[in-house]
Amino acid sequence: MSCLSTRAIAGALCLIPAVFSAPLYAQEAPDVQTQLTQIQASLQQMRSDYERRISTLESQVNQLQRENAQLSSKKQTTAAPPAGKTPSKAEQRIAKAESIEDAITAVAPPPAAAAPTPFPNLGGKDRTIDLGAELFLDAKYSSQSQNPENPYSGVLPNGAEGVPRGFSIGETELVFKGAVDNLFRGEARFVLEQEGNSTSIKTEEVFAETLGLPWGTKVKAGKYWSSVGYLNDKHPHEWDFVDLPLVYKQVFGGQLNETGAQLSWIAPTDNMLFKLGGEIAQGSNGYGQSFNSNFNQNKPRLGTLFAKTGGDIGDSHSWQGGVSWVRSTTGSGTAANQASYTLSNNNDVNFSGGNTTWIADFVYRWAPFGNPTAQNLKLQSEMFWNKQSGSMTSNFDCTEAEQCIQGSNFAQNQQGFYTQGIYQFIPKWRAGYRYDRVFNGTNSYGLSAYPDVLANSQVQSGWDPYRNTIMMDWANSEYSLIRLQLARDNAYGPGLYNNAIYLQYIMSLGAHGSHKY
Amino acid sequence: MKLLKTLSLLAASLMLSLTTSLAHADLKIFATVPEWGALAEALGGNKVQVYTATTALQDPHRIQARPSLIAKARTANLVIATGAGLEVGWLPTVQREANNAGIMPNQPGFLEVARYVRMLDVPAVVDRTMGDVHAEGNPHIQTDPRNLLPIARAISARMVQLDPENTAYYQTQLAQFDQGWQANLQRWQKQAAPLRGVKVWYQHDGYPYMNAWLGLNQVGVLEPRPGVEPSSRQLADILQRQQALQGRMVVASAYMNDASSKWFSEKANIPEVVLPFTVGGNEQVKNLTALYDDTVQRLLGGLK
Repeated sequence: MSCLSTRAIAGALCLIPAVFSAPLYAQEAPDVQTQLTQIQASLQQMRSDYERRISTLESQVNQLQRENAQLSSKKQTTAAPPAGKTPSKAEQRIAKAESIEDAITAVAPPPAAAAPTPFPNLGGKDRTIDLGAELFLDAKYSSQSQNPENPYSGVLPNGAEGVPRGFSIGETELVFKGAVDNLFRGEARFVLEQEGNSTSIKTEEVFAETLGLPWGTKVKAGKYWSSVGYLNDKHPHEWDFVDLPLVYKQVFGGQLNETGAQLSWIAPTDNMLFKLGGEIAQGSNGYGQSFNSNFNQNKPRLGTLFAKTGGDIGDSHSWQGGVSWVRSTTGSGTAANQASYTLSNNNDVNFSGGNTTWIADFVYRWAPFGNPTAQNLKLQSEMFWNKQSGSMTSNFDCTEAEQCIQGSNFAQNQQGFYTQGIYQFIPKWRAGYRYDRVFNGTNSYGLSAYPDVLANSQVQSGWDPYRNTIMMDWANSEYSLIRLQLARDNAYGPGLYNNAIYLQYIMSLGAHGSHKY
Repeated sequence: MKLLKTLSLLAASLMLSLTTSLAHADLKIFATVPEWGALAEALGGNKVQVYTATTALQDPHRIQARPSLIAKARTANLVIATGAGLEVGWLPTVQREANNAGIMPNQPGFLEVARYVRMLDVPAVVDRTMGDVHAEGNPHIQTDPRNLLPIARAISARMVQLDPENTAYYQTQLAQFDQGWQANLQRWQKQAAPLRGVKVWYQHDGYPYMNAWLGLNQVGVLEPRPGVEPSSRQLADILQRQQALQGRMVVASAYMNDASSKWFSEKANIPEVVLPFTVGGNEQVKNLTALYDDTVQRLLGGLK
C-alpha cells in the first residue's frame, strides 16, 4: 500500500508542473521550440529521479517486510508448544511457503502480512460498545366499515385494539440489545403507541438471558413474549399481515407477554431440531389483560410448556412444528385476581377460575435451492384449544336481581385457527392470503333467562366469526416495506360485516436485524 | 398430565443416550460457506466432521435461520464463518438460539476468518442509501486463493486448541496443504498471465480480491448498489459507457440470477463468464483446487 501511494504522489507531482506551465510558455512564440525541449528534458530528468527514489524506497519496504515476517515466524516458533519432530518440520515448510509467497508478484501486497497470529485483538480501547440499537417506524392508513373501538362479539378476552380508522401510527419500537458480559445477554424493547391524540410508552420486552449454561440449556428472565405457539414471539414488524389472527385476540387478547422466567433445552440431535421449554410467570400482563391483577402477589399464576421440532427436506424445503400448553388461574376469593367481561348493557361480570390452552403450530418454507432472494413461499397454520372453567359473579349494583349471578359455575370450550400462505413471486414483491376463524362454544354464563344482555357482547355464545384477508407488499430493501391489505370479517356480530382496507409502511433504522425462523 | 410425564421421561432418556455417545466424537465443525467447509476438511482430515450451512447456489447474505441450522450449531465444537458482516443476517440468531456456550463470539469455538486477511474496499463512511455495503470491507475474500494460506493457519490453530490430542496430525495436514497450495498458486500465476490488465465488467461487486490476485481491470459493476438489480435504463447507460470503456467480458456468479449480465453480454457482444464463486458453484468444482482451476480457465475462455 505504502509504495503504491508513493508512486501515486510522485506521478501527481510530475503532472502538476506539466499542466500549469504548458500554457504559459506557449504564449512566448519565438523560442517555444527550444523551451519545450528544455522542459521535456527537465521533466525526463525529474521522472527518472523520482523513479530511482521510488525503486530504492520499494526495495527498502520489501526488505523491511521480509525482516518483519522472519521476526514474526521466529516469535511463533518460540511460542509454539513443543510437540515432537513433526511441528518443526511443518514450521520449516511454512517458512518456505512464506518466502515463496513473498516472491509472487502481486498487485496487492500478500495478504499473509495481515494478522498471522491465531488470536487477534477483539475489541480494545478504540472500539465503542455496541448497543445494537434499532428503531422501527410503522404508520398506517385504514378505512373500515365497522368501528374498530367496538369489541368483537363473542371473542374472549378480546384485548389488542384494532387498527384505528384513517391515518394512525402503529408501534414505534426502540430496541437495545447485546452481550452484557461473557455470561449474559440483555435486550430491551420500548414501544411508543398512539392512544387517541396522545402517545403512551410501553415496555414491550426487557429481559436478560444466559450465554454460558452447559448441556444446551438457557435461562431467560424478565418481561418477554412467551415462546408458545409460532406467531406469539414475533414482533409486529415481523408480521406478514397488518394485524394478528382472530384466535390470538380470542385466547391471549393479543400475544402472550409475560413477566417471569423461562428455561429451555435443545437436544444434541444431529439434523433435526428438538427443543423443550417451560415458563413460569406472574400472570399479570397476559391472557389478554383479563388476569391482569396478579401484581404484587407472592404466587405466580401462569405456567407454560412448549416443544418444538423442525428440519429440512432437501435443499429447498424446511419446516417447524410445535405443541404448547398454557395454564393460568385467577386464584379464589380475592377480587384482585379476577378477570372481568363486559355485557351488552355495559355491566361487567367477573370470572374466577382457570384457563388451559393447547396450541399446535406448523410452518413450512420453500425457497428454490435454499435461496429465498428471488422467490420463496411460507405456509403457516396454528390451532388453539382453550378451556375456561370456574365461576362468574356480577360486578355491578343489581337493580334487577334476576340479572345478578353469584358464583354460578361455568365451563366453556373455545377453539380457533388460522392458516396463511405468503408467496414472494418476484424479488421484492410478496402476496399473501389468510383465513382465520374462531369457535366460541356455547354458554349462558348463568344468565340464560336474559339472553339479550349476552347478545353482541364480549361473552356472546355460539358466534363463530371468520375472516378472509389478502395482502401484497413491496420491500425496497430488507429495511423498508410498504403493504396493502384487504379484509372482510363478521367478528363484530351477526350480520355486521367489516370491510377493511389498510395501507401500511414499516421502516427500520440501526443495527442489521436478523430474524428468527 | 400423563402425556407431559412421558414426554419429559422420553426427553431425559434421549439426553442421556446422546451425551454418552458424544464423548468420543470427532471435532464437529459448522462452516457457514462451502469454501471454509472444504478447507476445514482438508486441514482436519479424518479427525473432524464438517457440516456446511450453505450451498454454492445460496446467497450467503440471505439465509433463513432454519431449525436444522440451530440443531447443527447446538452440537458444533467450532463455527467457521467469513465474518465482515457476510452472515450478519442469520448467524447471530443461530448462535443465540442454539444454546451452545462454546460457539458464542470471542469463544475458541467461533472463528471469523476475515480477521486474518487484509480487507479491501473498506468504506470510509457507511450509509444505508449505499445498499448492502459492509463496513468491515468486501467480505468475498475467497476469490483470492492467496488468502487461504493465513486462513488455513488460523483454522488449524483453532483445531489444535480445541483438540490438543491431535496436534501433530493437524500440523502435518496444514504443512501438506500449505505445500500443495504454494505449488497451485505458482501454477495459476503462470496460467493467468494473459488476464493481466484485461478490462472486465462485473454483475455484482464481489471480486475485488480476484482483481488484486489476477490483475484484472474492473471497469464497472452492473448493480447500481450492492444487492440491487439494475433497471433497464441503468443497463442502457452502462451499454453506452461500454463503447468508450471497451470491457472484454462480463462476469456473473453462479448463485445469482444472471439475467442482467446475459442481456449486457448480448447487447455489447462480449462473452459472459459465470464463475463458480465457491466450491460446488458448478459441476466441475468439487474441491478448492478445482475452484480456482475452473475460475482461471473460465476467465481465459472469456478472452477468446
